[in-house]
Amino acid sequence: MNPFPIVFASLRRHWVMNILFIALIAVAVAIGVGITAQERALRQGSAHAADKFDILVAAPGSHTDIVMNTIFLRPSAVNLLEGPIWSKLLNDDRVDFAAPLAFGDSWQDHSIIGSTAQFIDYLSGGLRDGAMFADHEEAVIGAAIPLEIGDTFEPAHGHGFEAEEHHHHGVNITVVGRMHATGTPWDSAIIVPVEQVWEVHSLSAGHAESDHDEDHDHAATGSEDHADHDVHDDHDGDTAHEHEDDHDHDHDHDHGHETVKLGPPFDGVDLPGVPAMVVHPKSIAGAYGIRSSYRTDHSTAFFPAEVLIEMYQMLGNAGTVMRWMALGTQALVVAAILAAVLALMQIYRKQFAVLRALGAPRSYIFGSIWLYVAILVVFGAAIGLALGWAMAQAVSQVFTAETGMAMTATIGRPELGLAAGFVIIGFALALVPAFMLYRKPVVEALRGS
Amino acid sequence: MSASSDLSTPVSKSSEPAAGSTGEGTSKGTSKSPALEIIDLSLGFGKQAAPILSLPHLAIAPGTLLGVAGPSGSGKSSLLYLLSGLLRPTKGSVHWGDTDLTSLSEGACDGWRRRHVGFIFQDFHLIGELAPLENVLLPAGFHGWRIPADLRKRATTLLDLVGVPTNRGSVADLSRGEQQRVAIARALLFDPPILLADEPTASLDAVAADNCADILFANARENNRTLIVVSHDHTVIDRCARVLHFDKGRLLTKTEAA
Repeated sequence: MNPFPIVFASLRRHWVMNILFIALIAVAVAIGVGITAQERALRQGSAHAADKFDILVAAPGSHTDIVMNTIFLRPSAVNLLEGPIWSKLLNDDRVDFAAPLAFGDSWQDHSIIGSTAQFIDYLSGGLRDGAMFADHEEAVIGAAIPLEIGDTFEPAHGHGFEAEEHHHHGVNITVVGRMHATGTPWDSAIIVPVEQVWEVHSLSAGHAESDHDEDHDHAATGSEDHADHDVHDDHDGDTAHEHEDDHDHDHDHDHGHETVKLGPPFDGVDLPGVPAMVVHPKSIAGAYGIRSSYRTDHSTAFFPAEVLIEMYQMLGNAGTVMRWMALGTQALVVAAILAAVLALMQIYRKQFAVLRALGAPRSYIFGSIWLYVAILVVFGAAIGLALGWAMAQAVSQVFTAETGMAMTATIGRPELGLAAGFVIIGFALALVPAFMLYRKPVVEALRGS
Repeated sequence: MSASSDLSTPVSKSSEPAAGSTGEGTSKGTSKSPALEIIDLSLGFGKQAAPILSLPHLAIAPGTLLGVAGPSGSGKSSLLYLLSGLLRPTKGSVHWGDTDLTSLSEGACDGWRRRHVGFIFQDFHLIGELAPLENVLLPAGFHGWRIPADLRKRATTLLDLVGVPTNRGSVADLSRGEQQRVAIARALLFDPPILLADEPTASLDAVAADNCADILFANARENNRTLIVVSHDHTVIDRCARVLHFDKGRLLTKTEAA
């Protein structure tokens, strides 16, 4: 039995309707595939973005806000973690690596974050181009920042409209290095020494007292963030000695050319607050210990993964709703196509009756109609799979452009399963018109107009 | 085009077998065509309603050219459907040679029809999207995947004999007369011993009608095939050796050519 000639002829005869059928099936499958692939890409992208952020320690507040600030660089107002607390964290035996993260400034909507050279090494695994910052007015940029080494820029306070409306800091910062691409929002970030952030906000320099510090009226703006200095005495002995050496050097120069003290160890005295600390523990046990120790009235510590899981649960719930909606759409499309095919079969009724009169067995009629619908379903599902992947890719690119978070939508087993499920249901439903025409009396159809 | 050319080229056993060569329905007569005998035939819808066709007895010899005439609704087409096994009689039986069509299962009847009957319709019922050759070969796909080379050759020969070029893109591009000739070629593909034609010239102009009738009758005559033609067209009916006149489902008269 070879029903292909009659099937292809039927496909050609009502080609507009058949293309419409295929388009409907493709869109229905694409919606489901796109949602599933995009959701997975978002999970993978956000999980990758959080890879380097094992533990976050911050002032008590919303963990989600802290995660959004630190990992996804979506600025929002957070309290500052008091200097003595994060200073203590730097010297915690359970900590393998820790760095302050100071947000608030921007350049052309790219976040400027104050941190340390160690953090840049930790985050990006070294620099792709240039050198590490060695002065307050130097910056290392993320891989996606549209600046070149040697370019200068002026940071503004805040982000977006706020940054345009409010004052610029009046400081020109020179780009000296570029990080490797990380596939995280940090590719769109500019990292300056944390001391620079403190400096432009008139806070203390974080190192032992110097003339440099006296240039700024830090008491006016920073005192509320670090009123409690109880823990400073715990660790400022060593740093004080180091700073004495540095001070001799620092004070020999004006800002532009002096060899300034950047990064740890910080001077525990009069240390400004920071929005968050990123911590890499030495061990899993240490991680839980740190999380427990720093959950106090003055600080909070948590695994970003916990927040992400909560977000995934919400995302998952929304995804489940959307998947059901997509399934509903698919069911409606299948029902609409089935109704249209049944209507179409009335047109084909006489054609198949003639074939019966010419000696075609019922199985030939049944197979022809089933194959006709099955071809529509297979083509529609295949195009839908490709369309869904393309949609997810496009959305991922928009997301990546907006967030800097690398997202790659791929067609995996869930998407293939969804398309295959649609095809199987389509194959099953194709039996309906096939069976209906199979049973039609031949003579009645031959006599019909 | 040659209406009197030999259209009885045998088809190999690898394709559809010619009817006379099969055990099922083998003719008792000397020709390949089986004899037809109708016994106490009645067709009706519902137990109480009067039958729409009633025929107590009819016997025709193999190779008969039989015309069926009568007004619309007189049961002519129903008779054709009964003779081909597409309709089951309410009562009675239809015998083609040794085969009682009324005793065959539907599947067996389909098979018998495919091997023994060539059907020609008033409106041709070709597949407009297919080329003439593809239309003629369409019945070859009912049971086989590949079309045997000899069957393809026969289809080409048939189209050549009915005067339709095989290189035409689609039958939709053909004239109505050409389309009916393609339909005749399709009906002759398996060299069937019985040809049933339902108003084969009704939708053709006089020239095309005459041309198609020439082909049909020449083939039947030369190859001793049984041809049963339902028609209102006297130029067609007048070519038949025997004519049955029906009215309101009953046989009024039988006439025979001199």
